[in-house]
Amino acid sequence: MTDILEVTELEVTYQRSIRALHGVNLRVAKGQITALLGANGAGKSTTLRAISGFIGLDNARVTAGNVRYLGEDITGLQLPKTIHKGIVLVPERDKVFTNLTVAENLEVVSTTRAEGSNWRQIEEEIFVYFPRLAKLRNKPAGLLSGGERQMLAIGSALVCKPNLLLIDELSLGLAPVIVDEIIERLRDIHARTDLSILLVEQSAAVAFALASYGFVLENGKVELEGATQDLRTNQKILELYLGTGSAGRADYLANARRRREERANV
Amino acid sequence: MQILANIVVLTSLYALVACGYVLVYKVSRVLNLAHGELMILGAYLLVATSAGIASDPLAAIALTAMFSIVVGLSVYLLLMRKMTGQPVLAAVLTTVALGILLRGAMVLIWGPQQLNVGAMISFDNASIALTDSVRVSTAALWLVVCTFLVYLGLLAFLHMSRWGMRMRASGQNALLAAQRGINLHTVYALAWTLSTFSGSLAGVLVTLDSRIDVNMAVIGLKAFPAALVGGLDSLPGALIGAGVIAALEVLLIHYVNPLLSDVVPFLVLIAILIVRPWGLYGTKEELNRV
Repeated sequence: MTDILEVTELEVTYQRSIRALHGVNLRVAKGQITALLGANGAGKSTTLRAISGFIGLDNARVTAGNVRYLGEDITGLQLPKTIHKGIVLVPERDKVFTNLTVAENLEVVSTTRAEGSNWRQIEEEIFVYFPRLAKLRNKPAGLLSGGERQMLAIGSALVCKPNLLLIDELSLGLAPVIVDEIIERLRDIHARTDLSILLVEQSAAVAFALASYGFVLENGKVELEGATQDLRTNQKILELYLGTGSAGRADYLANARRRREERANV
Repeated sequence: MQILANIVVLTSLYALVACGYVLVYKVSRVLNLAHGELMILGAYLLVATSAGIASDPLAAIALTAMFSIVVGLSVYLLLMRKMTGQPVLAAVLTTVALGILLRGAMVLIWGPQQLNVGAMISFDNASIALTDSVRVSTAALWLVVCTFLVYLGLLAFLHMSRWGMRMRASGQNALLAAQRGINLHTVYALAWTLSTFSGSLAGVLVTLDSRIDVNMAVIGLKAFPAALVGGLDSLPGALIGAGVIAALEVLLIHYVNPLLSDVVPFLVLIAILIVRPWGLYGTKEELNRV
């Protein structure tokens, strides 16, 4: 299987002094959904931002390692060039233009790929993926719920016609029922297109539900990787992605597992 | 009734100048303190055009409008483009420097004396009787019409065209705009161009109504409270702010003391900064103004 993205020994430094990544290695297989798990501050968002390109405002730089996309070295490539290559990010926070309506949020998107093509048609395509958005067409995005914003953010990213979609925190802060709907929508989109997706998650359950392969990031390094069915049963992952020092939580989960097993035995 | 007419004319002037502040601020969060000088530069461009190229008033004004677009674009490309991604304070101070520079350059080129632009392009600024008791000058009438058209055009552009939407989007979240493939430089250049164009238009029309000298750049400063009263990032707000400032100014001049005219806008400015710093229609979160 070929890889669409290959990140080797990536190091990122903010403001010339604060090192956020300490040599991250990961791969995204073409046409697959890959998950990047980790706790707060593990460096997940930085990894995605480094791949999708910084802008001058970020004051961040790739100081070592490289990013290869479709075999081409794109290390340090800035926005909007990365978008023109087909790498599109759904950011964690501030993911929609709150002062614009849902339809306008889709229309402002501009890439050489989307430019010139038929507008209504692109909009309708997105509304097929997210029927809920069609009804909200003329509503300001600032009035949408968290789940609707996530759908709109994914939708407007899709307008860029990505080959590789990077999603930062798919489920964070959303109600479980909405998360289930979004997971279903993403599976649907993934089945209809040959999109490759790199998904950043704090929830292992969501990551395992979608991804076929996963990486676990801890303190700016990948600590663990594997196919999700292997990760699912990995003892270490529970402790790892909960972060160090949260042994209490790990105990709780271990106890819960034991109780479940006991019930199963009875 | 004459007072009402005066208020409408002054409102139009302040509104036309204020929309330049609003456009640049709304899109890039930069306060353009050289706007008054750019406005007068527009008027001096008319002097230059009429002296050398065109003698017909309409042709001269059309050419001036085109030059003002070039000026706005140059200001962005040569100066403000470097400021993208820098702290906002640096950008604002750059505009202060630009204003001082322009003022000096205009005195050097056109001299400190007053010029009668109307006479130069043989513009007949006749007084028109709207009713028996209400009279306005031709230039003032043009000013009202132009302001109306500019606002109509700008609102339609911002809400109905894709580049207009992109300007609103970039103002709300520049990072996300970049992540959605919007070229921020194009958006900012567009804002500066439109702002300088509308400002120059105001400069041309106001100097046709009187004379021109460099000190008229103070009108730009007086229109700033109008932009701020309405909320710096709202076009309809700027229109209402201009109305408030103009009405107060005209009424106080008429009933109290003409010397108040230079003070009133700034009294209102201070009052609004204390009571409602984000203005009547501005975005409330934006409190870290420079």
